[in-house]
Amino acid sequence: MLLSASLPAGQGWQRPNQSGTGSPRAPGAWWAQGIRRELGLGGGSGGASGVLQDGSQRWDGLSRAGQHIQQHQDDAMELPWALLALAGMGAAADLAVQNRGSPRSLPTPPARLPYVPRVPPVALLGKVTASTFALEGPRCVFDGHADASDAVWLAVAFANASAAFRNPLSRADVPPYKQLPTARSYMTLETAAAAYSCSAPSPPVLRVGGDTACRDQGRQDPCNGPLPSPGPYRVKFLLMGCRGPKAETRWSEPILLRRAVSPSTIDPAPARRGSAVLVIASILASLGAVLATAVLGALGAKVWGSLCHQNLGADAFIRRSYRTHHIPPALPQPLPPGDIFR
Amino acid sequence: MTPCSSYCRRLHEELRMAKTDDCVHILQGLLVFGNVVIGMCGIALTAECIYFVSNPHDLYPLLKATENSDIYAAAWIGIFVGLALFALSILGIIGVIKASRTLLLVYIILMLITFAFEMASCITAATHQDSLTPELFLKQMLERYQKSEPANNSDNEITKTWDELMLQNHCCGVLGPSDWQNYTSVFRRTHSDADYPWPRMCCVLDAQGFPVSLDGCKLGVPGYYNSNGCYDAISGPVSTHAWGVAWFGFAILCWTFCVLLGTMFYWSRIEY
Repeated sequence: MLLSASLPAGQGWQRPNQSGTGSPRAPGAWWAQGIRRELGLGGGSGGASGVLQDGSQRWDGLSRAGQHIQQHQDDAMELPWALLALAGMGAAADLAVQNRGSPRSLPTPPARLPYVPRVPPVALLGKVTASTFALEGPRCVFDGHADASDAVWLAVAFANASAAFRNPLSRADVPPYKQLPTARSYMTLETAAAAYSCSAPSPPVLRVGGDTACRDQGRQDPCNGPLPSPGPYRVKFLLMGCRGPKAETRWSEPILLRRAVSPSTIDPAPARRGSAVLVIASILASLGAVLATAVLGALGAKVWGSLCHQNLGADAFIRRSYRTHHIPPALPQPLPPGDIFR
Repeated sequence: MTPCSSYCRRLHEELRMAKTDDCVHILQGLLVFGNVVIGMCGIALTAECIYFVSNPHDLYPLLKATENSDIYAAAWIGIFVGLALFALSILGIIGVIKASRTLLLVYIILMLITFAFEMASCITAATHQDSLTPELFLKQMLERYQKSEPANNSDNEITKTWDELMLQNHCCGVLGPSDWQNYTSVFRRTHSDADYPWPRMCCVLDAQGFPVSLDGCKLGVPGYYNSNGCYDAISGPVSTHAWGVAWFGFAILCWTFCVLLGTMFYWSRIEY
């Protein structure tokens, strides 16, 4: 049976050696014993929890991770990797059995936490743009799972590729931003786990896609470049320790980025003509028409009258400025007595 | 005819003239008053149009670029119409007092020409004020703000005007910063969306002209960016001026109509 085990690197290997006094055997013997033991056990992963008696939660976590990984055997590692893992497990378990007498330990799959990442519900105008989006920081989520040296990564994948995402086994295997077009996923925003602890001052807001230098300079390391397409993305947080992923959250809901339309779709014409324009235009036009007809009518009447030689001054009552109405009319002077008898 | 009867007839005529003289006086008084009002309104119209043309809010580049700068043409016409109204009102007062047919005929004809010009100015101002919709400015801003290879100087003017506008009025875009997100633009071609969701001028700037918090501005945290649109700052002054030109001109024309009718009646009654 194939197992895609998370390879406990580094420290895990040393533990049996630290406490053990057994002498190293020939590798071939370990290989054979490990394989036999694995096949005998039938791939059970429950035995890993009892290996170490220090009650470390990490070994419990690894056992749960192992159960989790067993559920995804369709995309399992290649046989040589599995056999190497088994050999490693066998070696470690062998030493542990030698030291403690308990069954071998398997790398446990990362703990699956119920937290669902989401875009912050507060009113931020720029929380989703055409190439970036914001996320609420996973505050208090990893408490109890994280050590001081662990890091929380953000895994971003296209919504239809999130099921195919496999957690990297170590920091060196983390898919960088550059692989997004081919691998359809990447990991970014490596942060110390202490930044998301409950004692942190306020829930941070993360901005995915804020580093344009990442894209422009074509960096190969994990960085936070802008997202190239609006196509819906799903994210999850992954707590990576030295031995590999220790805990992960659930995948978020699909996040769709903004799509901008061309300004040529804007129609600048007013929806309807204002009524004020109609009022002004109609009233002024009618006034102008009345005036024009009045002037033409008056001029026409005068011209017609002068042509017909009518007495135009008959009804004129406005006199020229030599009116003398201020001077009382002169009474007829009494004639000199001589004129009466002329 | 006895001297008494001729005297009586002349007295009767004088009395009739006195009554009609009162009517004449009243009509003259009204016409003079009407012309005085026209003269003062002409001066006011000239002053208002000069103020509008002098571009107090630095919005002229935006209006010129819309190819809809007829509001400025209407204001220029308003300046000359106002001066003409003032001059013609003086002519009218002289003509009414002297009861001179020639003067009044000249007055009426020139007033009609001025009436026609002012009518054109009013209707133009009203129509083009109506066409200054937010969509017009939005389209212009998206297509010309921060154009990387400006075709002519007006693109630079537009960029400068918008920057000044956003700085002075603490606003962003036409309807809001989302204008830059909802539409592609020439600005977007040279400034990436991740670094510049909206122009830097939309951020709250400190005394040195740098954003108070660049990350806050990019994320859209309230308090670190200007969330209002600039449309009110544009359309407010322009609307006020355009309505001033249109409606004040309309009021003057209504008054002038009455005065002209009175003058024409007065002219037709002057004897040769």
